[in-house]
Amino acid sequence: MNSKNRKLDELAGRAIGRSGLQFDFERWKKEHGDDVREFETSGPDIEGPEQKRGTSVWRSIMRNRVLQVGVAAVLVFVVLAGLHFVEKGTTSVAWAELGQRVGSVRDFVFKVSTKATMSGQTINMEMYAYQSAQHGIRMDMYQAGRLQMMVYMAADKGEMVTVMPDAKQYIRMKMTPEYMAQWQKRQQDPRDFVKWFTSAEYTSLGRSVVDGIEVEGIEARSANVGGGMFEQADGQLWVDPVTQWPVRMEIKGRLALGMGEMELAMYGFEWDKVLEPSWYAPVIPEDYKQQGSTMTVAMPSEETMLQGLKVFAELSGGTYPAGLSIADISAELGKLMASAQLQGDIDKSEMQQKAMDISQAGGFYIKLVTEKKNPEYFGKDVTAADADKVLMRWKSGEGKMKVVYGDLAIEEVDDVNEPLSQ
Amino acid sequence: MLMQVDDRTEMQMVEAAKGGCLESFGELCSRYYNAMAAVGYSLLRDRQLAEDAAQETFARAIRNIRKLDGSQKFGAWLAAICRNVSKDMRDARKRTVELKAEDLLPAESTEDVGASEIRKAIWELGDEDRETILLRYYNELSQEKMGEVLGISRSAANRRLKKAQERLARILGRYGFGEIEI
Repeated sequence: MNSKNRKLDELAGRAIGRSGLQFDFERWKKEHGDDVREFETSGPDIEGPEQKRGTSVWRSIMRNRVLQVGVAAVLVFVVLAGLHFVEKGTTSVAWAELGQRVGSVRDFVFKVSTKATMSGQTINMEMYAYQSAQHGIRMDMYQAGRLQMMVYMAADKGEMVTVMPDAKQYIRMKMTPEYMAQWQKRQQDPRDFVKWFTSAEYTSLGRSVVDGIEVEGIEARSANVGGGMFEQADGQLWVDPVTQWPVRMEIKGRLALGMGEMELAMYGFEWDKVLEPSWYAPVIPEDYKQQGSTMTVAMPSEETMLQGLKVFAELSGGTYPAGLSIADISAELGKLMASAQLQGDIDKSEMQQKAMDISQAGGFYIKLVTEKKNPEYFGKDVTAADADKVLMRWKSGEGKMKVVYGDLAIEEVDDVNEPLSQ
Repeated sequence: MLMQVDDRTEMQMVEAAKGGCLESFGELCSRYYNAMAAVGYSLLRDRQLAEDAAQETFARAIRNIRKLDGSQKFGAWLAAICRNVSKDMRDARKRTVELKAEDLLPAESTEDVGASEIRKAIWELGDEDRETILLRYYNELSQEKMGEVLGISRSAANRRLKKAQERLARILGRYGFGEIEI
């Protein structure tokens, strides 16, 4: 900078400079109390510029601020549930002792940090999970250090309750007996990830210090990680050689079905911990209100998918979702619910259950994809009036296909391996 | 390894604020207060009103932050709100009292000789140049921060500042400050 330029800096700085300006946030909060209260009591707003396909799950579910957190939770839950119950084969096992040892643990505690990027939006979340084969699951979910949700899934009651302190609301979902039976049979949690690490082709990371503990690590990369949750992922597993228990796992990769990307870190493990049954009883303060009515969650199945498509067609006047991926379903739900709400022809409880039903159609589709049943869906071109057109089809067995028509009639036919021309 | 909570980038703070974290919103306000005061000052020509505009900007921001699209830059979004707030305040002020240009340039008893002329020269600049100059000199904002507020890159902010400085230097030359090269 030359001397003449310095002169301009000095002149302008002296004439208009305003050094020492400080923002007093505490005072500002007092002066804008109404805005602050509104901010603190309302959920994430999904009322965006324009609803468009492929926008964030969190933004495009529906325009109702009160309902959206709950429905987002339901949607994510159902989609994960779809992945949850995917049966998968096991391959050759290395570190077999570790996989078996961890697999036999019934009760444990752990922390999870997630960073998910979906449709350009990043969501960071921290969770404290208390997992018990006997009692169920409890997860306390935080965003930016703030408790957002407590999720209780009581194994004996077949019920999931989500408590949302900010909104002073809760959601109650009832699981069908089939759902609970499957849940008891297989749970997608850190134990499954350990099995993935120990069965994948891995490389040694040697010794290191992680979370203050001397550990030994392995690194793995493969497709179809976490029962299909990740399409492709890289991960590191660190184990304490003294106790032989996992200390930390980190997985980073592409989520299945183009849902986005996720970094997942699981740590703070307490294996074989004695967990109190009382931790699994939802604590719902008296002034909290139930959001909608109690919803029923069934295993993703043909029936739940057909019901979801039927509900969608009833709301839309005969059309079906253009796609059944999580992005498509969330975007379609957003448009549909906003439209139904604008017309005032649907109440909140009804809306929530319908959103759940429609989401379950997506859950079954994801299940088919991850089970490699090659589902093909033509919702973009087929309507409820097209009784002679194929709406969806997938491999149902050796040489067999299930076919769903526009009027939701379903039949099993021989797989002639022909492309559809519709 | 995942980033720790205390080591958050601005983008993470924006996401946290969108998720309902008031502390993150407060931190963002603190980061942008000076810049918003400068933007307000460039339109209102009054320091106190400029600070009021900055505070009202945050009030509008907290009501709308959840609508902020992921592709939008927070600083530029905030500055756009601040310009609107400041224009509203300026219009309201014009309606209540007809002010002369001199009234909008309060002299300060302890100020240096020529400061008033320099401010007059700054007000002669076009809106964009004036805002750029004020962002730089009102509270010595870095060019990187200027870029965030203007919604442009650091180097583009640097180029814009240079051009605004050249125009200001020419006006100051007319005011008898001699030749000031940039």
